[in-house]
Amino acid sequence: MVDYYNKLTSDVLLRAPIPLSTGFSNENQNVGSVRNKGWEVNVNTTNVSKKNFKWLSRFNLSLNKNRVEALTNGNTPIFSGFDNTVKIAVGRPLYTYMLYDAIGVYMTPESLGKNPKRTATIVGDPMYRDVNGDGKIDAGDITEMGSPIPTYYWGFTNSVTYKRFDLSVLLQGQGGNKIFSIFARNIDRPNLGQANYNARNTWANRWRTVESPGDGVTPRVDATTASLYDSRWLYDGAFWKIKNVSVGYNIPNNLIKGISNSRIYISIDNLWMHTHYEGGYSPEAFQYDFLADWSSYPTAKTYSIGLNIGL
Amino acid sequence: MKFSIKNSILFVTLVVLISSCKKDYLQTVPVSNLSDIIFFKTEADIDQALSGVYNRLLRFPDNHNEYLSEFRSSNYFVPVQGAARDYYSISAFDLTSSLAALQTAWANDYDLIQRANKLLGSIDAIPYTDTTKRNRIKGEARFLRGLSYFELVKNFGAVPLVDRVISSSEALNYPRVGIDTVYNFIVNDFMFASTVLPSAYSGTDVGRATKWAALGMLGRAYMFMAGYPLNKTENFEKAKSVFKQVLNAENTGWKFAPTYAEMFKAANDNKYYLFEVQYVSGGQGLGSRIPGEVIPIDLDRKIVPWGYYFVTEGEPSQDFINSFEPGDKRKFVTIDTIYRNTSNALVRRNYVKKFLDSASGSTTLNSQDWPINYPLLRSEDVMLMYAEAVNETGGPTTEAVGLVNRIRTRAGLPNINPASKSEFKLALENERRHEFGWEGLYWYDLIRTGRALAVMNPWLQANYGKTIDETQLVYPVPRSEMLVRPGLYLQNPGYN
Repeated sequence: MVDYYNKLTSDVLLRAPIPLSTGFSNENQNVGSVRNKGWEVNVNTTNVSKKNFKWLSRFNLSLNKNRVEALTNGNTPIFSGFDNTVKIAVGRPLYTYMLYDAIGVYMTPESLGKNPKRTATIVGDPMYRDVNGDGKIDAGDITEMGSPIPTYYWGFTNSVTYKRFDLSVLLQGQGGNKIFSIFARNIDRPNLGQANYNARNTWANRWRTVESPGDGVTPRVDATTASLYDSRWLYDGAFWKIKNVSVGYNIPNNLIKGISNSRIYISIDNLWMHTHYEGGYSPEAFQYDFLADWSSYPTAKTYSIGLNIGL
Repeated sequence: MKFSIKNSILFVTLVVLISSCKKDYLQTVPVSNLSDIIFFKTEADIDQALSGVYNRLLRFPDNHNEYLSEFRSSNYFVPVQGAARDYYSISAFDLTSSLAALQTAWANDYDLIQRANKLLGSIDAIPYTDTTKRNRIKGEARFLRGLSYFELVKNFGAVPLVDRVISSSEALNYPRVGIDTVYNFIVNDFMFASTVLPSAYSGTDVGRATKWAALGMLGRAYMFMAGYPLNKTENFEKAKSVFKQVLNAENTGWKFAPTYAEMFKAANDNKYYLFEVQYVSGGQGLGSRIPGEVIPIDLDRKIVPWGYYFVTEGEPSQDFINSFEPGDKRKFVTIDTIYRNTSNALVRRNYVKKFLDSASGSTTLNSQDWPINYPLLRSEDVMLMYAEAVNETGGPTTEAVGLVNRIRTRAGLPNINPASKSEFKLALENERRHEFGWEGLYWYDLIRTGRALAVMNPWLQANYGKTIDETQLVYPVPRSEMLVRPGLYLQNPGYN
């Protein structure tokens, strides 16, 4: 089964920043309208259906496009998120990250000399993309770096029954989104004392000297960009996971006198996840209220053993 | 819990702006919550609102006197940068408009202004049996609003000038206005306050703004107008005459402390200063953070039972410490260079101990809970500014030099006898640096006297390997404000 939807939500109520000269930093405003459109696909199949053996599959996929159609303030972009790292702008998804695009490291004095740079930049600093092409790096080069809103979600369930045994496996995934991690930045930006304290192993490949320039991605420990927000803390938010596995056995009726319709089972939630996300505990723990990962706890892996007794 | 002004700051009025719903049938005033539409009915409501205005002073010393002033000046240095912190960016002149400390100060200042405007807009509709009291409260609110604008104009230059409660859409019609316009507004607020505020308070009202506080601040505003960047030197004469009124009130309006050290003890709160921020311990967020800020992490817990508050890597600069004359009793009241750590060993390190009154440590419930008031205006400041105004308008006089020598005598130092205007000017700069160390005046003194670049650049070159120009004598408008409506505010030159 395939559904198509196209929904325009008007008067979206969001916390919008207002000039502090009012005494307040933000208020809830009807900021504008947002359109969601996309496809939803559901496929249910019976793969095998025999007396002692059954295999059913259910697959669903949602593809969603989210776009701001208009803003009531005369279409002025609204900045939100931690230190204005998120933009709400017409023609874009509801939230768009606004960051410096880190494209490498100034490896040598020559590289520093010929590439656009900030006034205080030194050799070994992260190199940012000169978005507006004016030959220098400044706040004008803070650019759109993707959205935290996933563009697809899917779920896939397989259930198998064999005689009195049953097994079901639920897989889930989503992607197409980016996650900016304040948590990762808090523990991993330059100048946090990486030279003296514990640090992520990526710093082993940092820029040290022109002769020992590292991996070309990791800057020097005392890089001058620590107060900026760049794409080094922006991660792909895609993942898929084994959401649930359960195995059960239906106890024959009257095996024990007076007991019927009873079942014993083992169920495991959040068994395993595949992701390249390194910005926090889990891309799934991302909280949209904050528009960034603040080290929210991941969903717990849960083992349950159960016995249902019908009397 | 000595003063009711402190206690009543607890009851901060929450004023809710309602603006989202445009349709009439949704325009219902919520009856279960207090809102500004239904709140202001009686004198008692206004009293609460005024406490709410005073409440915003609690962060002034951190926001302005320490972060934006002492940390910016050559009084403070971050020798080892262990982390990217605001105090480093400020000290090393390595900041952008995104710096959180800027937004914190801007937000707090305008919050105070909004609270004062709300009160001033409501008070005339409230029946008062005693109109003197109504005028006094107006004077207090305008005094505090003037203080907020004073901080804004010193730190950011031109700012939006809001004199009533405005909505978010009206705020878009309030761009930055000229520095002189802001100062004229401040002068009007202080001048009004000085005509309606009493000379003294009694009982639980002690600690409120007095006539002397208002006159002193008025004079200070004149001194800033006379200096950089406006350089309207005719204001030195005006400053002289208001300072003279304050000086004439010695022993009736204020007392000169017999020793320097005793001023900074909690036991002497509301005894010597002309105006001070009221702090009280009790773990309710009404205490001071200042004593536990620029101290060693492992300072003896008998002195700081709850440790330090946040600032750990910076310290008073060697330049500041070395600049004290031999025998200056103020030196080791303001700073120290050696301390006893938690393992009872003596360790060398510079730290600030001016407000670290060990006798009050035991009453604190956390590291931000010190009950030690912080001076925003002292009589010594009025004495030295008066001497400066006299010098600027005619060179050193016996009276002016005498005021400086009175302060020097208390500090255990010999008299000075300056031969020229320029010699006295430098002597005053030096005296102010040591008399008001860690009170947040030095940086602004250097700016208004036109000495900032000459003093700061050699020090910055030696300590951070850089120099600054005039653009860095003001801070940038916080980036969040620049983004609300691009084009509403123009950024200060040199920043983006």
